[in-house]
Amino acid sequence: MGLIPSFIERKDVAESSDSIQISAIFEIEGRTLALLSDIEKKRTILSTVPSKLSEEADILLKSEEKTGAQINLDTGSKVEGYGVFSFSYGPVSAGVTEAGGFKLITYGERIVKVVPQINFKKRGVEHKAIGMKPEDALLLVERSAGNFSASYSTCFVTTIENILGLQVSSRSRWMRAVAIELERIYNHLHVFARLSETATQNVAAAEANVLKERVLRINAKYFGHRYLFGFNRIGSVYQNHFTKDRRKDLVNDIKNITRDFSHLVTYFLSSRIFLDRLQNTARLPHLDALKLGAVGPSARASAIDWDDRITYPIEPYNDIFVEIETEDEEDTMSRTMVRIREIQSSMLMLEQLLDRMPSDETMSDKTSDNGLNYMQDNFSFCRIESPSGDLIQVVQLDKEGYIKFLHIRPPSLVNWLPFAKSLEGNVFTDFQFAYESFGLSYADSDR
Amino acid sequence: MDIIQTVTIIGIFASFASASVIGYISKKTCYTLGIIGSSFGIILAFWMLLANTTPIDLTFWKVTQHSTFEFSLSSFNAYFLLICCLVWLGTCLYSLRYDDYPRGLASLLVLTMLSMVVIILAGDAVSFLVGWESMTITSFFMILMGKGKPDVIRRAAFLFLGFGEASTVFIMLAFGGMFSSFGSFDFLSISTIHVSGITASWVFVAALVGFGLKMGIAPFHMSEWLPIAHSNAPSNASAILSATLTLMGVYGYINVLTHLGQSELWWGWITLAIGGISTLLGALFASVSEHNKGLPAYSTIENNGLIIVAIGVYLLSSYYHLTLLGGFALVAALYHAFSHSISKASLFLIMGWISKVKGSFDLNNQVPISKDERRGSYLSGIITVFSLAAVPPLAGFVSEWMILEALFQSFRFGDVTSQIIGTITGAITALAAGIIIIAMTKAYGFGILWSGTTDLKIKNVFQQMLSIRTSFYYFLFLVVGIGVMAPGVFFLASSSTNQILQEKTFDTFVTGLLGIPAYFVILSGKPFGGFSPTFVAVFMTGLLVIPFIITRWGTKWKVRRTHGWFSGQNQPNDTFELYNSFGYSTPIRIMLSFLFRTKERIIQVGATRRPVILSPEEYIVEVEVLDVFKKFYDILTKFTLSLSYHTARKVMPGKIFVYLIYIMAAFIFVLLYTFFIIM
Repeated sequence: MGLIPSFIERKDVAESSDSIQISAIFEIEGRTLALLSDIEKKRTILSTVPSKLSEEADILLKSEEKTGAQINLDTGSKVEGYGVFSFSYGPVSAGVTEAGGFKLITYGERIVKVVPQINFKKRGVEHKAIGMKPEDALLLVERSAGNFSASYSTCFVTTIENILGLQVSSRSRWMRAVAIELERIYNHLHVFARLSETATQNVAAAEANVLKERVLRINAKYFGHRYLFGFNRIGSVYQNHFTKDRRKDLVNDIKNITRDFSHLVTYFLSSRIFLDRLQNTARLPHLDALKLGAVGPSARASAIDWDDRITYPIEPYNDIFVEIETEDEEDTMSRTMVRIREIQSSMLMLEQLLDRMPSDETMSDKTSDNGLNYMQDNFSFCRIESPSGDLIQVVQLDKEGYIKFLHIRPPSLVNWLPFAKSLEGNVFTDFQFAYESFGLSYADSDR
Repeated sequence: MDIIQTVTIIGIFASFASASVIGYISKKTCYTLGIIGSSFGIILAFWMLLANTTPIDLTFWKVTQHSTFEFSLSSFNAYFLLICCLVWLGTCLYSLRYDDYPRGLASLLVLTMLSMVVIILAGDAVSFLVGWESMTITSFFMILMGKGKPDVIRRAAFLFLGFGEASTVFIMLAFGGMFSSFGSFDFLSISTIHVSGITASWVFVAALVGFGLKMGIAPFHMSEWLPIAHSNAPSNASAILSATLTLMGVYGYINVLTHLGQSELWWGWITLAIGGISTLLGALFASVSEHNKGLPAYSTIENNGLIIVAIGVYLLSSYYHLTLLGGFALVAALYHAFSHSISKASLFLIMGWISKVKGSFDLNNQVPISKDERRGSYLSGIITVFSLAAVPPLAGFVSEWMILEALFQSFRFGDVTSQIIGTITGAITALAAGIIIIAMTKAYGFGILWSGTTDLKIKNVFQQMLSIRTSFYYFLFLVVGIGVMAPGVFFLASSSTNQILQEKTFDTFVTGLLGIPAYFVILSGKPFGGFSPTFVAVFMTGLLVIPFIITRWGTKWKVRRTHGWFSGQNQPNDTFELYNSFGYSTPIRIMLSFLFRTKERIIQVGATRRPVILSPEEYIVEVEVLDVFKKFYDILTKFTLSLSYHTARKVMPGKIFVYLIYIMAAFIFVLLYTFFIIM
């Protein structure tokens, strides 16, 4: 029984390059393995760790430390010059909404370099989960980053199901996709609201918050929790009588939100003041995005067409129409546009999912048809396109079925360096726009 | 001439002259004599201003056919003498401890003061020019004694000399114009004889350029000669240069204007425009300066601009015979000259002391210094910068209020152009008054307040710091006094203008109003604004003191000390992690890059990035200056050098004896010429 799906290639890569990024590095059973993303071929590669590591990968490794010590995500370049100083922003400052900080190296106003500081709220989720039953660990994992809980829990349960070889009904998997898309919509709306607030577009911010609240209420109504906690179970999902009528109601609710959101977008695109703050702000050039391994909407705004829903298509994404939204202007405006279009495409996707949702009896195909056998490893992993990008979890169970190893590679962690890069040469007032547009979360990266 | 005048004049000259000789032997005696001389000056000035005596001309001897060596004593020049002597007294007090420069600085300082006394008292153009030249030359030598890189100091000194001599040339041109009307050089005492017609315009332009050069106003500020020169001199010399040497420009300019007849409309326009631009540029450049004393020096340009603006209003008012407004504007100019000189001297002395203790003129250099050495600079520093940033009820506020009120009344001018120019100048001046707050918070914050303290104790602190602290508190007292006792200063300023305006502005503008007793409200026009600095001070003190007493009633004095808040992180030990002065004003450099011609570059050298920001403060950052005016001056310099080189090659083609013969011939020719002319 193989635990790794067929769309994963296994080969040893000697050196990471611009097109082959290191997505995760983890040490399991004394071996250090790496998950690589082949951007061109759109494949995930499982490999031993390439001998030549970039500075960025070093930083990735550094952040794996289990201790709660604060870490500076620094690529090592120094800044010298008359009037240059380092300006501490956070962990307790207005504007940084969570416990996380930055060192802005500047000569006043112009940002020369940004050093993100993470791990202020390190809770050691991966460490704590060891020795837990998967059901208990699920509670811990899905709550480690509340606003990405559907992605986290889906990723986790999928991995566990792979290891245990559980038969899961297709409906459960489709319901999980519904939850993930709803999560994407409310998170993107949240980012939009925060951006509007930053540009002091208070009406737009209020409107976006209203829409977000409506999505949260849909979550509560159909999934039992506003932030989708407790809905994923190992092998199934919590189903609140997802009858045909209820699905119709949900589609109607979503259509209403879609209509109102289109109005909001029309107003947004006609507000020159708003657009002026976003255009040309915090550019992340395509090559830098590749080099630093940006993921999610931030990468897609720099013309990297990587989306786990297509490149790592677990059911039902292999069965429905998914469009990758990319932009090539590389700025905050692009990132916002990617998110706006993703909201729209997620809404269409929801309609597809709800319309074609299989019955309860259909069992999904097992993913063990690739001929590769990793039984001796007894571990599995999964990638899920969370609202902020590619989420990777690697899980290993011991013989008794307890968690032996858990590794989470959150999307926010890898997006810090692209974020820092994008801010170079910008001014202080651009900071908040960049920060919000990347949709970064300390709870996510600190786990 | 009564006994007091005779004694004080003799006292002034005797003290300063003897001090300048003794300076080479004993600095302390020299400065003590300087204090005595200044005190005589203050007595004489007060006597002239308060006794309201008629102007006196002291004619000594005939120098040439057209020139008599004479002194003139009137309430007008007594007012300037008062300002100077008040500044000098404090500076000499300060120098008793400050001066650790080589021998000669004390003598030069006192000689500069003596030259200024000659300028103020001169009744004839020749003695005025003698004073002017000796002031320039002694100042030149003082700047040469500054501490720093020798080539920078030398450059600063020669720049000063160059601009000083250029100013002399233009003043000579102005005096030449006046000579053609008067037929004699004895025209500087306040008189009713007027120059008129095209000659008047000639005199006006030459005087504006000549005296304007000395005041560092636009467009001559562009090459930054004043900040470079003033900031590189020893601090006591800087105070004298910035507070009183530029005041000589104001004095000379107003003095020459009083001898011109009916003013032309364009005189007012030009004066207002130049004043407005100087004010704004001075404020902007001050706010981006990183030099401990360069910043106050740029602020001097701003304040001189304000004085010029007030004079512009006076000129336009006299064109339209608006005697009320004209009188008010002239008093405002004189009031501002007073408040600026005192505040600026105070700021220079404080900044000078701090930079001496720190050993650096760089505002970004946060070297911790001993608490003992900086005590006294906190309080007097904040009051001084408040005054320069025009915070009520201090000196700077009252005069700036007066100038802005005068500009508000531009609607009284008879033509639309004057009204528009007046209004725009008003807007620019108000903007500059706002911008200078950035500069002043920077000066106080980074210059005085935020350099760390060490617990190092100094032996005999009281004796060691006596002269420094006394001078600080002396200026503090003056700065507060000039503001709070505004009606008194208004009285002095107005009585000095009585002979020029031929009316008593004090009775018109100082009154009582709305329950405030008589002589405590200053009006700015009839009918227009009114303001009582004294009662604002009383009110502000009440607002502070009464709630303080109420909160302290029956409770213990509790002071809680905590660390500063650094975004929830530990207090950094490294100065690299502290906000600095350069960062404080970089937003202005970036926003106004079209004006500062700021260029930013980040150079990558291996793993090191070096951001280079090209901006005009070359004396700190040592980067190239992209100044159009400086380019012009550079081209002029090159042209002059090559011209003189080629001329020299023609005149002296290499044989020394030919050159000697040429000199001899020239000398004999001059002798004979002079002989025949006198005969």
